[in-house]
Formats: sequence, structure tokens, C-alpha cells
Amino acid sequence: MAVNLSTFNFKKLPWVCISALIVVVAVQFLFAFNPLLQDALFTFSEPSLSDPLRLDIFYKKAESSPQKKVFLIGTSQGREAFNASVLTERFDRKIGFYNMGSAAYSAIDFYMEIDRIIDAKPDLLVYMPYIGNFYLDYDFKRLKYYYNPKVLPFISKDIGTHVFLEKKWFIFDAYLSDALYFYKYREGLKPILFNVLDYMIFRLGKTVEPKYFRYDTSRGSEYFENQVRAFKGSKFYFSQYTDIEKQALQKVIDSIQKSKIPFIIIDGPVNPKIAGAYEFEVGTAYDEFLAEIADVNHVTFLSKADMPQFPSDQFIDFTHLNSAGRAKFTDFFAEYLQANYTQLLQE
Amino acid sequence: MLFNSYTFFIFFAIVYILYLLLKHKGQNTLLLVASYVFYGSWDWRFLSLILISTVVDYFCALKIENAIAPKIRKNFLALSMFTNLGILAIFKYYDFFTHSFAQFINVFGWNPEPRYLNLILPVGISFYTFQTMSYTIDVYYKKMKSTSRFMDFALYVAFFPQLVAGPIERARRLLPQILHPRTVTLDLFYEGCYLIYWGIFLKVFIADNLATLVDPVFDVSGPHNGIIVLISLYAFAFQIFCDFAGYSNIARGVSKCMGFDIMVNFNVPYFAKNPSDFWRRWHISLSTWLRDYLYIPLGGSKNGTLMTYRNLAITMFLGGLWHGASMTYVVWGIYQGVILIIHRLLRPFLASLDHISKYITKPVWGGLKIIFFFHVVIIGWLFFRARSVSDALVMMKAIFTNFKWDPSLNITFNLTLFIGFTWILIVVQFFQYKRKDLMVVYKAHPVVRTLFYIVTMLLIIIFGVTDGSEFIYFQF
Repeated sequence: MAVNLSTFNFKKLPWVCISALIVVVAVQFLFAFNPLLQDALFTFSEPSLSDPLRLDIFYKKAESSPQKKVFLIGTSQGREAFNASVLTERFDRKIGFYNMGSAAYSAIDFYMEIDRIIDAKPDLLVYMPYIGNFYLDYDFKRLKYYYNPKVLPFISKDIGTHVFLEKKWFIFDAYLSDALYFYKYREGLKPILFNVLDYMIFRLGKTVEPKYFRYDTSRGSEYFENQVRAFKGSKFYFSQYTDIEKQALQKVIDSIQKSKIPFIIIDGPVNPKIAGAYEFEVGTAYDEFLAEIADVNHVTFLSKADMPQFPSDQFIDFTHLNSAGRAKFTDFFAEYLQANYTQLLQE
Repeated sequence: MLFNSYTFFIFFAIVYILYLLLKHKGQNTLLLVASYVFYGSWDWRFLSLILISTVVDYFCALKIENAIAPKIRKNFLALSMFTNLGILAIFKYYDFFTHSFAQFINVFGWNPEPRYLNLILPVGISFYTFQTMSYTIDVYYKKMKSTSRFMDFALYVAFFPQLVAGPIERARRLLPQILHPRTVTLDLFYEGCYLIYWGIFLKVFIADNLATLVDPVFDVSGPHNGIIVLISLYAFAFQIFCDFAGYSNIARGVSKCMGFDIMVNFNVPYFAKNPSDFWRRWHISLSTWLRDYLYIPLGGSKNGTLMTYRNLAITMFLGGLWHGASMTYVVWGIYQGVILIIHRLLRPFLASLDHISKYITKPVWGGLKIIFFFHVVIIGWLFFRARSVSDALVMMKAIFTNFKWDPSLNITFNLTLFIGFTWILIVVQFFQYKRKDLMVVYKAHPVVRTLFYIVTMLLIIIFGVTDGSEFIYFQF
């Protein structure tokens, strides 16, 4: 029996698979670009798990909006701190405020996305960095959400090219994610599917309000004591990514300044009970870095000293404000904007 | 290198392209090198064990065939058995038996300090050991001729698609396919791709997602809620099936693409109506191996009822032990033996019950038998999956004594997840069973197939666990 390499002589293509593949691609394309479906995704999405997907939806909304717009960039800390609806109301609905806080959104992610952000032409960019952006390891699992190849030489310059070998599947995953919308945002789609199912079974016909925030209440002091014990002073630490994250923020600032978009860095409020969860030196280094980078680049910087005090019961944990804290912070920020940026935003 | 990893697909793509470019001899050499690379990717040191088994069985089979004196033939068979079982005993069972023995004599007040080897269990050792043993036994019983082509025999032992988790192929089936040129056709290629796809779906969508329902319940000590235990037990029944059948399908698919025909290892086992039927459908390559090389040599069912029961008990006990050096597997094996014996004992009575079908129709009666026996099977899975026999007993007790609806335990959510992850399998298996054809989807109407691919692709894309989690049977 001779070997017959007839695999190369395809007489007929697997049309069933090809048509299924076309449908699967088309469905994803529809969900990625149809505004109605995007709205539906947002409505059923969950803050935190669906954050990268919600961020993508915000970009698309903002890109097509003729209104003036303010982008509020940051992590989940920012997501919970800014109430975009209240801000919009305070500016008589003439300005669109987009709360783009996305869980664990680091300065490297910001750097990868900066071109897209600038292309969306915001009138003001507000960035609330998180201490964990600079004093934790970069989470490569999240690379796929914001991937831009320009990050590779940037990371390898500091850490070495071996990082590509170690993280090769995350990089591969990022490219795969660019091709498959559902695959890219699968972690965010799962809760959406469950919410849709729940709606169809139990709440059909009722109005569904999108969720903007995850936290409303506050935890007892026992929680914080346990957390401090559990972290043993190492919730944040100097990591091999600390310098890279700092450099990434510098590059972001360079790009923003080139685009002439006004830019504000605003330090995120933290729970007074956080002391003890990480070393004092880390906190000092972080505060100094923010002040310095803002000063060197002549960027507006709102430090904790510029803000009202936030007592422990206005937080759900160490870094996320609850509804009471959010109302206070939003009020402070609205007043700041009205005092300093009204002219710019209402021109 | 796992079947459900990107690395494997790149590896296979390279091997397959080269394979298609080569002639028969070159293909076999390529497959042997690829198989060693595949196995070495776990731990290259354990390649030495495969090589020892290969060399010993190759020479023993040649000597057995060429020797005329029965004693010499027997000696070489013994050498082969001693080597293979010796490796298995040292690497898999030594610590378990030493520990069990120490505990046993501890009962008599003697406290020995046993020495443990603490060896890492080589991946797939039970699979390839049984595979090579079948070769020398078959040559000994003159069921097949030995081969003088060492490289080809080495490929039979290490053939990568089924090396680490089976199916345990007999030399009678696989060796001729290695020795003779194979034909790769378009139909075989498509069939192979379908099997790979279905296997991946079973693993990454069903098995790995069900693990989220199983592990949190089985990996903690009680107290347990009976409903939660039952749901996780159902989930484990499907998890282990999809994990193992998924692997077997991928192994068959990869082989088929290269022109090999590997045996079917699972034939809708949860549609079995009794224990004998179950073992004709579950892990067929192991159950037939145990039947041919253990149960029948022990006497099978030829020496009276009692001896039959003894043979069944021994076979299933050793079948349980084959899975791993743990009391849970031993109890599982004994349980399987017991239900086989009880079924034989009750056979006349059970046959007399069949007249019920007159009142409720045959399909309904058949369905009831399937559902009843499925629950008999999952009791066995409880012991198989539990961390210890005592854990299994605690969980079983919870099913019977704490079967309460507790809203705080997300029972509805767990049940929804279970149904969500298994419905497609149940539908496919129903048609596979009804039509007596495992390729029923592959042969279905194009519209049905298109829908099947759309749904399964979307499920894999959104829910598939793609972090390359290990197959359960690798540990065996």
C-alpha cells in the first residue's frame, strides 16, 4: 500500500466548517460594531469582570459622539470613585463624562492604548493612577485586552528578551484575541450571558438598568485587620516592572502633550486603615514619583492633600470608595472642574 | 505537552507536514523521534523507562518465538513480566504498599519506620506498560508473530497520540499498521479533524468547566449538603468521561489524520443498562485487556459460578489498583467487582422484570434502566474522586441524611451550570446511542452539522478553558 498524499488534492473543501466559521465571525463582528448590541452588552455587563469590554464600548461610543468629552482613565479605584452621571448633570448634560476605570489597568496598558485614546479626541483626560500599577508585577493575562506590539521592545529593553519566551502564550493570546472579539472579552461575556439568562427566566419585560459600580457598602473593621495580617506588609512592593510602569506613564504624558489634550493626574483616595498593609517606603516612593512626574512635565496634579478626608466607612476596602465616598469624591471633583475647567469645556 | 495546548498543535502541525512529505520508513523514524520528544517534554529522564521496556520486550518476544523448549519460552515471558511489572511496582506502588503494610502491622503494636522512595510517577506508565506486556503475551500464546524491526517496535511502544493515556492498543492491531505503509486520504483527514475537534470540545468546554463544580466540593472535608454533593457527583461523572473520552478522541483523530486506525475507547457508557454493558462501553481498551490477559487466564466463567465470581472480583480489584496506588481506587475496583457479581446473581430476577415494559413501553423501561444504572455508576465515582474512603463515606451520608434545599448554597446556580455544560453532550450521545453510530454528527445533514459547529465554536470561544489543564488519566 503506497502512501497517498491526497491531502494536498482537496477535491472538495469542508464547506460545513467554513460556513459555520463565517457565521461565528459574522456574529462577533455584529456584536463588536452594532450600537444596539453594544448597548445590550453594556446593560447586562458586570463592573470588574466586564471592565475591558465596557472600556471598548466606551471608546466606540465616544468616537462617534459629537459632544465634548472627558475621559476618566484608571483602575477599578477610578471606576468606583467617579460618578460620571452626576458629573454630566453638573455640566448640564453638555459634556459627556466617560468613566473608563478598568480593573487592574496599569500604566503599561495606558501606554498601549494611548493612540486610541487620542484618536477618540477627548477634550480633557483625567488619570487616576493606582499604587498597585507601579508596585506590583504586571499581569500578562490582561495583555490581550489592550495589546499593542509597541510594548514588546519597551518591556524587553528593561527586563530582557527572555520575557518573550516566558510570556509567549500571552503574546500569542493577544494576537488571537484581536481576531476573535468573543474570545478577547470572554471573561466579561460570561457574567453577561448569566445575567441575560437570569433576565429571561425571572425578569422578562422589566426594565434593566446598567450597573456602573460594584461597591456600595462598607466592611467591618475586622476585615481590615485580617487583611493587614494577611498581607504582612507586602500588599505593594518594588517589582521588576516598577521602572517600566513609570517609564510607560512618562511616554503616555509625552504623547498627550504632543496632542495638546489637557491632562490631569489625580491621586486616588485610600482607606486610612491601609497603613501596615505595605511598607512605608513604598508609599513614600509612590507619592514622590507622582509629584515629580507631574512637576517635571508641568501636568496638573491633585494629590491627597488637595482632597477632602475620606474616613474608613466611606470605603469598601483599602482602595475602593463606596457609594458615600463616591458621592463625596465626585462632588469634590465636579467643583474642581467647574472652578478650573468650565471655560475649556464649555467653549 | 498537552493535547489541549498551543504547543501541541504547533508540534503536531510540524510533524504532520513532515510526515506527508516522507515515505514509509522515514515516516516511522519521524514518528519515533516525535514520540520521544513528546514524552520527553514532561521529563526526559523517564524516557529511559520506556527504552528499558522496549528493549526487554523486543528481545524477549524474539527469544520466545525462536525458542522451542517451553521452559525457555516461559522464562523469557517471565523476564518481560518481571521487568514491566517491576518498573510499575517501584514507580507506582512501592510507597503505597509499604505504607499500607506499615499501617497493618501497626495494628499489632509494632511501629516500623518504613523507607519511602518518594518517586515522581512517570506520566502514562500504566498505559504503555500494559501495551508492551500485551505484545510479549500475544507472542507467547502464538497469537501474533514477533517483529525483528526494532525501530518499528519502539514506535509501537511510544506512539505519541496514545502514549500517555491510551487507548491501550494491542500489538496485533497497531504493529501491522506501523510495519506496512499507510494511506492518508482526504476522508480520513476530515474524520480525524472532526474527532480532534470533538475531543477538544469535550475537554476544554465540558470537562474543565465541570471541574469548577467538582473540586470545591470534593476538595474540602464536610459537613456537606446532600444536594450539592449529588450535583458535584453528576458533574464528576461527566467530567471524567469528557476528560478521558476527549483525550481518546484526540488520540484517534491525530492517528487517523496520519492513516492509523486506533480503537474506540468509549461507546456512550452512560447509556449502559447493567455493569457488564458498562464495561463493554467504558475504557474499552483497558476492560478488554483485563478480560483477555487476566480474567480469561484466571479461568473466566468456565469453572463454575463461585470461580467466576472470584475471577471477576480479582480482575476488578486489580483494575481498580491499575488506576492508582490509593485505597479509593481499590474500593472503586472492589465496588465494580461487587456490582458485576450482584448483577450476575440477579440476572434471572432482572430479566423477569422486563415484562413491566408492556405497561410503560420499551423505550421508557429502557430509559429507566439507564437512569438507575447511571446512579449505580456514580456511587463508584464517589469513591474514585474522593480524597479518601472516609471522605467518600461522609459525602455519601450527606446525600442520604442532609438532602435539604439551602438557598445560601447557590444550588440553582450550580444546577444551571451543570445543565449548561452538559446538555450538548447528552443530546449528541442520545443520537449516538439511538443510531448506534459514534460518528452520527459527522454524518448528519449539513444544516445540522453547521449548527453544531456554530454552537460548539461559540461555546469553546467564550467558555473554553484554554490554560492547558492536565487530563485526569495522566496520573494513572
